[in-house]
Amino acid sequence: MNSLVDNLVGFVQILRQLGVRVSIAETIDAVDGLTVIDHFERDEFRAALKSTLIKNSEDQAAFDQAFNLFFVPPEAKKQQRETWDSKQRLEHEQAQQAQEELVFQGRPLDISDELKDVYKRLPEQEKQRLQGFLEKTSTGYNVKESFQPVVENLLKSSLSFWQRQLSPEDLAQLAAARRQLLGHHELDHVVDSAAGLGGAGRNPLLYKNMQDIAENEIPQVTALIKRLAHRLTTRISRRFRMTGQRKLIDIRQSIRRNMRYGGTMIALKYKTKKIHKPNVVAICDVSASMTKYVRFTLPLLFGLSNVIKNIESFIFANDLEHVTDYFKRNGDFAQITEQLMTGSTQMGQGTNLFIALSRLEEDYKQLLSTSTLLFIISDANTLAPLEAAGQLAIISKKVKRILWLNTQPRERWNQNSAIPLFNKHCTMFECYSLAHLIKILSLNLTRQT
Amino acid sequence: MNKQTNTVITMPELRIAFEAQEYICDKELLTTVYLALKLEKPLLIEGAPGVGKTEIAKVLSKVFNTELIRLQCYEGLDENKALYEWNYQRQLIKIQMMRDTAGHDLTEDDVFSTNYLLERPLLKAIRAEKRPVLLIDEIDKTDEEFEAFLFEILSDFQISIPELGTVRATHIPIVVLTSNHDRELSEGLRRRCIYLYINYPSIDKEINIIRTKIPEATEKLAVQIATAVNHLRSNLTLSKQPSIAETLDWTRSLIAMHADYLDPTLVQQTMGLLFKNRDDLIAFQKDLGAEGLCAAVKQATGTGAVAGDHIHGNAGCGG
Repeated sequence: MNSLVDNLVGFVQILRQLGVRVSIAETIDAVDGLTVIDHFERDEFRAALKSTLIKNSEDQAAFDQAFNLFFVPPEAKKQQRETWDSKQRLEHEQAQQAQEELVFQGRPLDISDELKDVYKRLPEQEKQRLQGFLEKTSTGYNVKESFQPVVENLLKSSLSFWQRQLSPEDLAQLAAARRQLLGHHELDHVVDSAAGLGGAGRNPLLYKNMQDIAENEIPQVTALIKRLAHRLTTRISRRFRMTGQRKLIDIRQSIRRNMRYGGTMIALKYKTKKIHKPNVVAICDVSASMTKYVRFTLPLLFGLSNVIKNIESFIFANDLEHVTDYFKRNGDFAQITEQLMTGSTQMGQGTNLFIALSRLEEDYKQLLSTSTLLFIISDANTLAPLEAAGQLAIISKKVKRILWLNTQPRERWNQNSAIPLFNKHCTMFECYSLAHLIKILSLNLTRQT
Repeated sequence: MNKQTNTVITMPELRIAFEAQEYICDKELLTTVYLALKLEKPLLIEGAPGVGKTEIAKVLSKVFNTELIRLQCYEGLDENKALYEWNYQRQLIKIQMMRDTAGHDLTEDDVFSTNYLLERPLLKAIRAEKRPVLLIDEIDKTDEEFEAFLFEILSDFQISIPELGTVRATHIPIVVLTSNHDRELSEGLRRRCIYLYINYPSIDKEINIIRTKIPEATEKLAVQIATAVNHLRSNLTLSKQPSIAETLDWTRSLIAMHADYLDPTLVQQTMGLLFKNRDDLIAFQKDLGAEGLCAAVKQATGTGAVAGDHIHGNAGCGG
């Protein structure tokens, strides 16, 4: 890596590894940019690369980290390389040790690399306990080769348990360990170090599973959701605006208006569509299985209520509860949450969506019209799923659209037999992080009906 | 298309020109603007409202002494409003007049000529005789369709008018697009632009801005205001953080009240200039308050409190 272009190409590779999308056209722009600035002026050089390669404010942190690590004097680069080499050696030794320790009757166990990484990070005491278990079962009376899958499964369960206990920092380290590197010494250490310094990815809060949200992050989450809710309303209102780019002439109005000119069409009248802001009904699951998501769902209801005028909010568990009034009290979010927690009878109960939907249909039928957008925020774990699906079908015929924000990861949907039943009558989205919420909004809900 | 001659400028000249227009900026901003000019690419500027995005376009038009053509985007903006429209009424009158004039055959060219064309900002920028600055403000407010249409225009700088043919730009305009990040812009548009993100300024930069824009503000007041605003931005969770524009408004109002330094009463009376919604005002009162803000400023700037007999009380930051 000697020439400037070589360095630049290497740097672009690093950015891509860190999750920044950089196209070839942008790389060419960067090369062009460097021809018109002073290379020896570091700030100018950095600004030229940043403005041509980075097109998103969220990617700037990754750029800064990578730039500071990559464009360094040769001595610093040499030192970085040595540190990287020793780290790689240590990793290799640990991997080899794990391979030697995780054996059954002398044969290596079939365990994924991910779980082996978990094993490497276990406390020494726990490692010895597992080794002891493997040794005992290997040498036990009448223990045959066919026992190996059973032992493997037991070990996998134990390691999965430890994986769940890992702190976010440990998980980040694990992710870094599994990151596909470029196979190039000089670039790989930058990718690894930049990612370790928090340079990879965008605002971590956006991608965090909302069940793991910390107490001190709630104000930030609420503020973000309020902003997103604002975006949602913009989209919703836009949906009902004029659709065509070209105006249509309103013949009847034009003739009437031009009678005064003897019928010559001087002043044309154009057709405009009325803006119908939809009525939004949001029903939010607050049952026991959803309690860990309350920090996500309540701010969402709060955010929507703040920016949408025609919104009716409900919470449900084994029955439906109308909570619009809580959000109309103009209090701050903490107060509202406290009032809801103490005042509601539904928090933490079992789930019966059928009863909730039936009550909605019977007691609040005036809210269900062809201009209603119904949001259901739930993990779809409910009693009487068949009946609930039937009720959902009835409601879906009355409203404009049902949007189901499911807090369960999509890969777990196949474990819930009710989801295919519900899916027939609504559009279901995976939604357990703010990033999902943004994605749902960017899908342009407006055009799917 | 002509290669630009009227906007040839070096980086030091650009810095001097920006300073002359009282636009305080750092090297990153200057280099980015310089690259956009040199590479003749649109400049996409993102950042919170009120950090000086639109101002860059205005400054550029002054620097190059050229016309600023502004296309303000909004929901439902269409090609007619952005590109061109036929002056239908004028065409009609012409047809009526020709009908009344014997012996003159009316052809299509008579009514579909540039005389009957109502230029909207994009066409105006393309047909301009001197390289103009085209400001496409708040691009995130438009629909995706319009955005797609726009980046076609921005890559070719030519427009096809069926009745007249293709109109090519005589000079590639200096294009500045601004966005408040209300909606995610398409990758295509981003890729075609040189990108600049303007963050809230550092304390030193904000002091510099206050002193440049409002020379009557004393050094002490400028320092305290910049420190206070910076403290609010970094310590409170607000739905709308105070921008530079709001800092300047606040400074002007404090000067109008003959203030030489911040004190809790003054802060309390003028908070409405910094916070523009109820939730943020409540958050400020609850989490910090005027006294708390003055104490934080005092701590950060190291200025001592005045004696308790001062007209505004004893928690002020002046000394």
